[in-house]
Amino acid sequence: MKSLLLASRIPILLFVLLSSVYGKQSQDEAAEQHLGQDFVRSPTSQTGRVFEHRSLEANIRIKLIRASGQDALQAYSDDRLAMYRSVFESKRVDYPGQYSRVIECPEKFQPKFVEIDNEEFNAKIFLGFANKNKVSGACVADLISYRHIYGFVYCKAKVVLYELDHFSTMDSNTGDRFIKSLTCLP
Amino acid sequence: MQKTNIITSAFLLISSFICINVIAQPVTTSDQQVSTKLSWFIPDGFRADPDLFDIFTWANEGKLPNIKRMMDAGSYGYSIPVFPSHTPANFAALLTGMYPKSNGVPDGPMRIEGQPLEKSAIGGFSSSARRVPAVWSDVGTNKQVVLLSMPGSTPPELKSNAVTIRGRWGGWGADTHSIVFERESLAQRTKLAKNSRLFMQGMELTRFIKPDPSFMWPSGKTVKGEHFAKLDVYGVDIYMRLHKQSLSGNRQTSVISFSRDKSIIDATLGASQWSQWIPTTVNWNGRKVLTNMRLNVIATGPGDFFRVRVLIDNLNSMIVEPPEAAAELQADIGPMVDFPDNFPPQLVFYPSDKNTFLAESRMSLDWHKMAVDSLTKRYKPDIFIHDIYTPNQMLTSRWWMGYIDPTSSRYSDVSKSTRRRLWEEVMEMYKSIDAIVGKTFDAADKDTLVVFSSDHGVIPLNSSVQINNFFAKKGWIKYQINPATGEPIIDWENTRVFFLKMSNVYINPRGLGPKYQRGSGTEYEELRDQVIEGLQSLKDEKGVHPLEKAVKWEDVESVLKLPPDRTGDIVIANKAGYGWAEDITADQQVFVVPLETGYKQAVFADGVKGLWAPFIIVGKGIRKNFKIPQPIRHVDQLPTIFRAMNVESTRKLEGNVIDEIFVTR
Repeated sequence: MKSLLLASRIPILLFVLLSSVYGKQSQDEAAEQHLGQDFVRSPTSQTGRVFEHRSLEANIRIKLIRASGQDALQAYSDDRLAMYRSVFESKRVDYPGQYSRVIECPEKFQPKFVEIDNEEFNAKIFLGFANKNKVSGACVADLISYRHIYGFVYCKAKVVLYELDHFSTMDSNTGDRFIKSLTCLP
Repeated sequence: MQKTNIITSAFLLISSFICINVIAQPVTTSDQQVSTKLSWFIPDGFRADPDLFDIFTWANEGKLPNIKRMMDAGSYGYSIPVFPSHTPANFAALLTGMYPKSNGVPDGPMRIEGQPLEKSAIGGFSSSARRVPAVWSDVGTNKQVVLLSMPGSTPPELKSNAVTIRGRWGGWGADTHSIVFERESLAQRTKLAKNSRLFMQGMELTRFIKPDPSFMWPSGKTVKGEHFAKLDVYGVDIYMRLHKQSLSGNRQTSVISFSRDKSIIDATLGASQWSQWIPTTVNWNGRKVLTNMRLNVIATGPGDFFRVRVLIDNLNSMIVEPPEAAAELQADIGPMVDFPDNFPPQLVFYPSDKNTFLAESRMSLDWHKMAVDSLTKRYKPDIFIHDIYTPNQMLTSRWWMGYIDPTSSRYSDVSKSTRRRLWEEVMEMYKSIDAIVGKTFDAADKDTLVVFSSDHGVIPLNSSVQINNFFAKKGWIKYQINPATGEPIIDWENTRVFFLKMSNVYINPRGLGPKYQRGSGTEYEELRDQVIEGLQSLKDEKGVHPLEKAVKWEDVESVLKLPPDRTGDIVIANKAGYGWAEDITADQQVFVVPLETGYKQAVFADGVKGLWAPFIIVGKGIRKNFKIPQPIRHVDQLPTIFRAMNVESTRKLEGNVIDEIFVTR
């Protein structure tokens, strides 16, 4: 039986990887039991369970999506990615006038899309920015406070989907390492 | 149970984590008279003033029994909005306890240096526009939070222990607005152009379509007087057949049959009639969205004229967080009607539009009332903050404010009996809001601080001031008329002065495009002074100057409490009764009478009581049946709420605690 890993390697922190096999446990139970104490567990919702980690360098939110089957998981992630993209699309202004018609995020503040597809997993990830309140959609330099990684990692062998939010300070490179560390271990 | 093997990572830290996200901390105090929960209902545009919309007297007279209950149980009075007196600035002020200069939200669309003026980079209804946290982040840590229809709540800031439902105009998710379909005619297009609506209609809040025989239903025979058309509703084709239906006594009436497949009829409706909700799947950004729609025939005839409203369920899984909350709420109370009409309003052109508006208004008020029960029972929120836009929509529409407020220039245009009926319709809305107040109050337990307020009132709009026509006549705006559309196309590089909503005049003697840059130097100062002098001299046919005050950008922080980097070169406040408009028209008319008869916009609210809003607060330690003698300010509400909840903000709030409402000072 293959195991699934969603790993975050932040080298400034002393990092220990724990690995185990929990064949008879649910995803939630296994994740809850073995996430480090630095992850806060939120109450279970219908679509999944959320684990959060906060530190000086990065805030990480991982949601283990609860849905059966590849198609359902695919639809879930496609919906959520469309919702994320909608924040940056040109749209009608809230108080339109003859010349106040469009809100548009300048190109330099638009998130960059990255897709990683290999034998282990498919990751669809946006690399963008967030404001002081950790909200994406900050499209002005003075509003931007964090680098923001948002997306999904679908581990093929185990048919498991993770929704990721990773916020790091603007001078941090933990985001790059976070992405490079993603893997589903055999 | 699915068998899954998980290897997870854990972090052992070499030093203690410092939580960088904690905003509010409990105050160390011996006072135990504090509330631990908050239920805050903030209907939009719910005018309350001591002269005309005297809701506290209405409550004492028994017309608003639930507001009366809150008055008896707590402290109450009036609250004054910040400038400018519209929704985004005032919701931000309420939710942050700070002025726009600090929270960063002075407007809806906001322009900044280095960007083209015709494209806003920031939308004031988005949570991403705020520079500081909102109340739900302040007090929502480790609590269950529910936010319903709140401006500034999306994209969601809280992703755990929180339910965020359709933050209005936050630019996030599948926000499917309702649509009007109208028989295309040259006369109507001309009329709309004269009313400066053509180009906003281009955003497809209203779509003009022609009957087309190619949409004839296959089983139908050609019948004289029948007309066929297709309505495209977010990728769903709805075919309509306008035809005659027999009534008793050899009479006939025009009806419209609707079908999605030209075979099975979804509804056959006459004027003013509504279909049931019809489950459907619309397309949004390439995704399938399960939703519902409801069809309404606003009017038919003469001839092949038709005007149809397609109301779209505002609730779907792609505009809430978490997504499953949509289905849960749907299961409890059905499809959502968030508010009537659109913005800008579309139900203002024909007398029959008013019936449709009233029907949608009632649906929205009913839905929001039921939502209080559903959300509180299902999610048991510690923090519940709720808005409904319906009061603003009614009071700023064409049909009411101009004829019930004696300060309106159109007040005498209707008879007393008509005015009585209009007041009854407004009072029906106020009573429905009162019913929601009752649900909210009943759902709160003894540990809950219950607050009722609004972002602003609404006053009569007598005249729109098309300032850009004034600037164009001065030669400061260069433009050409598009011969195909009649649309003025601005030559931004050679335009030196331009007004943009809601209250900003942009000035640069070297041109305002392609990207806007703040000017400086003698030439800039001289032009700016000329603009101010011109605006000060501007007056209507009655000799009234619409300009209340013009403030240079370097003074807006101290004078208006606005952020200079989010404002134009001059910020202009108008006198009550006027409203600034961007329009450039062929006739270059500056003063026009708009269809809408109410508005709020850029007025100094201190001296204009019609813009005031209510403030009622009930909870532990709050004085009962206490009328706050002087109006408070919107920025005072959050510091007062924090005091009542024994919470101290780690950021500096700019309002004052209303100390006199507390039993223990």
